[in-house]
Parts: sequence; structure tokens; C-alpha cells
Amino acid sequence: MIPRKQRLYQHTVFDWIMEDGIHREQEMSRLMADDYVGKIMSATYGKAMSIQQISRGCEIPIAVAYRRVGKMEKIGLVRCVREEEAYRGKKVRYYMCAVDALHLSFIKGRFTVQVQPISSITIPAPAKEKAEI
Amino acid sequence: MVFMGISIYPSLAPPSLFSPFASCQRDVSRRDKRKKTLRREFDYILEGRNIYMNEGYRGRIPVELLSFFRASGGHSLLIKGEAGTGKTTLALQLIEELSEEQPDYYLSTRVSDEALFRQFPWLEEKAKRNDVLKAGKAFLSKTKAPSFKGMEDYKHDSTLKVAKDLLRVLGRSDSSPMVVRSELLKLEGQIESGEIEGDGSDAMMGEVTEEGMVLDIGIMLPELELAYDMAEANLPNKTFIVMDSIDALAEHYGISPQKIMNTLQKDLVEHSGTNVAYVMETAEKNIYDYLGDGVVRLYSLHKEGRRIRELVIEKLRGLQITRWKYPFTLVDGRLRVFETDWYSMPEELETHQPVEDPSPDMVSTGNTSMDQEIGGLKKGSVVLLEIGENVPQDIVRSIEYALISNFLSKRRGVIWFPEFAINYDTLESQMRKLVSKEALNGCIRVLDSSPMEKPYEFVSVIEGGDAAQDLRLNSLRFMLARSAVEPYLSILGFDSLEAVYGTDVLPDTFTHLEAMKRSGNVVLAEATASCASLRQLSHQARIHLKLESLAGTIMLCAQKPLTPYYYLDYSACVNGIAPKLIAMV
Repeated sequence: MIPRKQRLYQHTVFDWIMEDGIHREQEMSRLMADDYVGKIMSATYGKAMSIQQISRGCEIPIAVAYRRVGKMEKIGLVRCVREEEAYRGKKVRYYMCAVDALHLSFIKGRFTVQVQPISSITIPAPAKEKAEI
Repeated sequence: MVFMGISIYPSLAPPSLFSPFASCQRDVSRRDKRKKTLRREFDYILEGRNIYMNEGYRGRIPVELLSFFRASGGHSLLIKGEAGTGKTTLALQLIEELSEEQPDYYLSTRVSDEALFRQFPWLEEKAKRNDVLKAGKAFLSKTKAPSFKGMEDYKHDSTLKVAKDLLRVLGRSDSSPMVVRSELLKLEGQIESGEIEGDGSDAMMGEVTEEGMVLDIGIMLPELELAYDMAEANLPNKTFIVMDSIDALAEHYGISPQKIMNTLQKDLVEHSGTNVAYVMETAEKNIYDYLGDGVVRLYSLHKEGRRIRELVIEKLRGLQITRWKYPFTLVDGRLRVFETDWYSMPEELETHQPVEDPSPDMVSTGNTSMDQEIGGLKKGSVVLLEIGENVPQDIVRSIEYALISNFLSKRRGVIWFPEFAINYDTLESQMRKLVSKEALNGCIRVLDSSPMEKPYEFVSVIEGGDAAQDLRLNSLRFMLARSAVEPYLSILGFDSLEAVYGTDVLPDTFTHLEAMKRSGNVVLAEATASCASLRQLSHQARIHLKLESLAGTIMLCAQKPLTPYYYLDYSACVNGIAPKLIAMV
């Protein structure tokens, strides 16, 4: 991605052109209209979840959950906060919502998305393993 | 007997559960405790309809399918059909038939189905077991599991024991045989990277329910993983895995059925010798037909207001298909195909046991099963039996013999103008086995217009010039012995009548028909499709029966009143002439 303009602090206006030429805010606005994205952001706000947990908790098919989270991570709506080794050596990534607020506006013929990222994300410590049976 | 694939740990399943039917009996007795009765499984399921169901009856599926799954190596079968055509029933009956040779894993996307549990009581146990096995996999992961509701339910001692047993089974040594998982890992990798698209819009994907335990930490496709584990636990023996339905599972995962089928075909079927059956919710031909080793299609069609069910074997790779189309029924929730056995009158006939008339106004057909379905023959009426194309004469003869034998056993008079030519020596020897000599010689008269080489007491020669004259009721009464009582039975083969008297014979028979009706007697008129009198006879008849060939299987139905098709099951009849009628529903 080629950042044309970026401001840190409270909110950032995204006007980046993504590698495939699609405006990021176009992608953002499309995702904002997606039911699943809303569910994922709500579920992961303040809470780290794996994609399997997101799939179950938000009632989203697993493959769809992977695709959505992949796109959301790409444009910064969620962030991977940790990885754990789980079943049969596989690594499981945990995601959290990375924005506090999203404002979509249409001004003079142009959609603009204003994102208020979470200023700091506290990465939750991995839970202790349960006692063996 | 292996239960749920865990062959090396019989403790996982109590001996009483090894046989599906032992499980059924136990379940039924528990259910009936409220009523303080103890009934066998089939009495419970078939209450009030136990004519042709006996102990141990399972329903019959084509032998080709069983041979297919019993052949060496793994095989996959696609079971296709519209809703309600019997796909799940076929899959479950396959499990039943193979249960003693191949441990099974039945994956169902249904939440619960009480009707299925009633027909297959062992299924409920397996569904619970599946949930427990999934729970066991969660314990295996040994990572933080989110707190989920229902956890308390699984802390029951017996459930923990099952989970521990599963841990022992699944935590086997590296030297144990293993199924190939390369395609599964590849599929999971593609899902993880977001490469896989669903069949349609993601927004239309089905919901993922939260039934059962959440065990998804690290396990992306838990149902498939469990199928692999079950197959692996049984190696080197075959496991029979049923996915019901593959469409619902694909929607559940958000990937195409093709992906799942390809994965299982390569890993389990081809490389691990596992049998897999997929239930698919569509009958139309599509690309999935090419992915499996076999395709079976179930159809529910309609003909003249009657349902026709057909099972079509499209392909079974590596197996010669001797018969590719079967009519079948789903009576009492079991799939049963109808055979095309070539029926011939048995040489050894047993004495006919008289069948009671259904009511004072009705006479019996001599076949209890037929009486139950059509209610018997009303006194003072005409019944038409239409004989369709390609119907063997022996089948017609068996219906005639049952009716005649019952009348003769009650000393009722019978007048018979046969539809088909008769060998009188054969008739005499057969009827003597069915009824007494006195009844044969005194109570039946076979009308014949041809000169006879030797006389038979039960044969009366008629002139053959005037049907009205030859069939005068008073003349016929005179022919019969005084001991022959009414109601009489008159069987008239109209094709033969037309051959003797001409195609316009019907009006000449009206006098006979009316006289018989007024006297409270019964007329059975027989005619083929080529008979000129058929249409008029249909108007005259109170009941119009028809024998028809469906894909080589002879079926009986009533046009008036409208009934379903009935299969004539001669294998279940005692005396060889009174088949049991099985409705095609």
C-alpha cells in the first residue's frame, strides 16, 4: 500500500490506494455494509478471539470467517494480538478489534471513512492450561 | 460387533449396544416403562401393521450397493434426490446392513429428528456418542477452552470415561497405522489463507449453530477431523462414513461440496481404504457425479395420481450392474426395493385355509392382505381385473386360484370362463391340493366351447354361439351341484369371450351380469388392454383393479377406488398363491 496521507492521533483519514488499485475507503465502506464484519468487530472489541471462536460465536461459516478477518486485518479493522500453539502443532492467532469508532460520510460526491483507532491495545495474557483430566 | 469404530476398546460400548437391534430393544423397553409394557422394536414401530413385517426385518436395499461397499479398497457413493425421497433412510439402512463388518461414522447436519430416531433407535445413541467424541477432542487440545454452556453436562462420570477412552485411542503410538491427511491439511491451509471461495455469495451462507460443545480451538473442521480419527482408529479395517448431507456441511463450513468431496476422496477413499457415502440434496446431474465412485438417484414421480418411487443406480465404479432401476417403497419409514422375481405357480401347493369374509356384505378375495387393502368384494357387484402389458399369466392365475379356492372351501359355486387357456390335467391336480375333490367336482364349472378329448367333471361344454344363452344364470345353477351355495362367483375372461363370440359380446353378457348382481353374487371380469370391452366394463365395475409392470416389477393397483401401487410379495406368502401386498408410499 502506498500511503498518500496519514495522520496519527485521534482519527485518521484513510485515503490509501491498495495494491490492487481499489481505494481502501471503498473497501472499508463495503465491509461496513457487511453483516459479518459488524458482528466480528463487536465480538472482538476488547476481547481476543481466534477465528474458530469468531466463527462459532458470530455464527459465521469458518471459511467465511477466515476471509473476512483476513480482509479486516489488511485494512486495519482488526489486529492479531497473539499466537498460540494449539492442536497438533497448529498455530492459532487471536484477533482484537483495532478501532474505537468508524464514521462514514458522503461529502460532495465522495465517500470518506474516518477511523478512530484504539490508542492502545492491551494484549491479554494467555490463559493458564486447565488441569489434565 | 464393533460399535462406533473403536474396535480395540469394547469397553467404550457396552455389549448390549453392539447390535443396533439390541440397542433398539433396550431403548424401546425404556420408553415403554411408562406404559408398563415391554414390546419388541418392530411391534412398536409397526403397531397395527405387522402383516409382512417379522422379527429381524430390516427393509431391503439393492444388493449391488452392498457388494460395492464390500469390494476391496475404499469406495465413495453419492446418494442424490429431492427432499423426502428416502436418501437418509437409504444411508442409515446401508449402515445397518454393513454394521457388522464396517464400523461407521454418521455425520448428520440435522439438529434432531424424532421421526428418524423412531425408525432407527440406535441412531439416537450414536448421535449422543458423536457429541461425546467431539467433546473428547476438545480435551485433547489441552489449550484454554472458552467457558461454554453445557460444560457441566459433560462432567458426568460416564461421559468423562468415554472421553478418557477416546484420549487413549487417539493418543496411540507412532507405529499405529494412520490415515492420510494431506488433502485435509491442504484444505485447511487454503481456508486459513482465504483462498477458498464458497459456492455463492458469502452473505447467503448458512448459520453455524452452537449445538453441542464448542471445541474449535485449533480445529477448523471438527466434523471432518472426527471422521478422519474414526477411520484411523479402525485401521487396517474399513470404516463406513456417511455425510448427511454434504451440501449442509459445505454450507456450514462456507466452502463448496466439491472441495470436501475431493479431500475425502483422496485422503480417505483412495489412500486409506475407507468407504464414504454422501447424501446430496438434489437429484439433478452435476459435476459432483464425477467425483464419487458411485451415484445413486432416488426419484419420487407421479402417474395418474399415484406415487412412483424409483431408485436408479447411475454408476458403481468397478462393479457390474445387473439391475440399474428399482421401484421401491418407504412404507413404515424403511426403504425396500421391489424385486423382479419371475413368479411361477409352485408345483407343491398346500391346502387352502379359508379366509373369513371381511363383513356380511363382502366376500373375501382369498388373500388376507388383499382384503385389508381393498376391503374384499362386495356382494352383488362386478369387479374388473385389467391385465396390463407384460404381466405373467401365472400372476393372474394366482389371484384366480386364491379367489376360487376360498369360494370352493366354503362350498360356494364358481363359474369360470378362463381368460387364458387351461391345461385341465394341471388344473385338476392343482385344485385337488387346494380344495377337496368334492368341492372341485361339485362346486366349480369351467366353461369351454371347444370339443374335449376327455371329459372332466368340472368342465361344461357350451355351444359358443350366443353368449346370452350360454351364460344364463339358471343354466349355470343347473350345472352346479345342489350342494353349491350362493353367493356364486363368476369369472369371465373377456378376451376369450370376444374370441369366441366376437368383439361385441359385452351387451350379450349384460343379462348375466345383472342377474348375478341382483342375486347378490360376484362377477370378476378380466380383460387386457386390447380388449374391446375394457372401457365399458370399467364403467360397469364397482372396483377396477389393474396389474401393471413397472420396470419389470408387477404391481397391482385399483383405478376405482384410487389406491397406491402394491407390490405382490410372493416370498412372504404361505401357500404360494396369495401374495402379501406392500404399498408403494
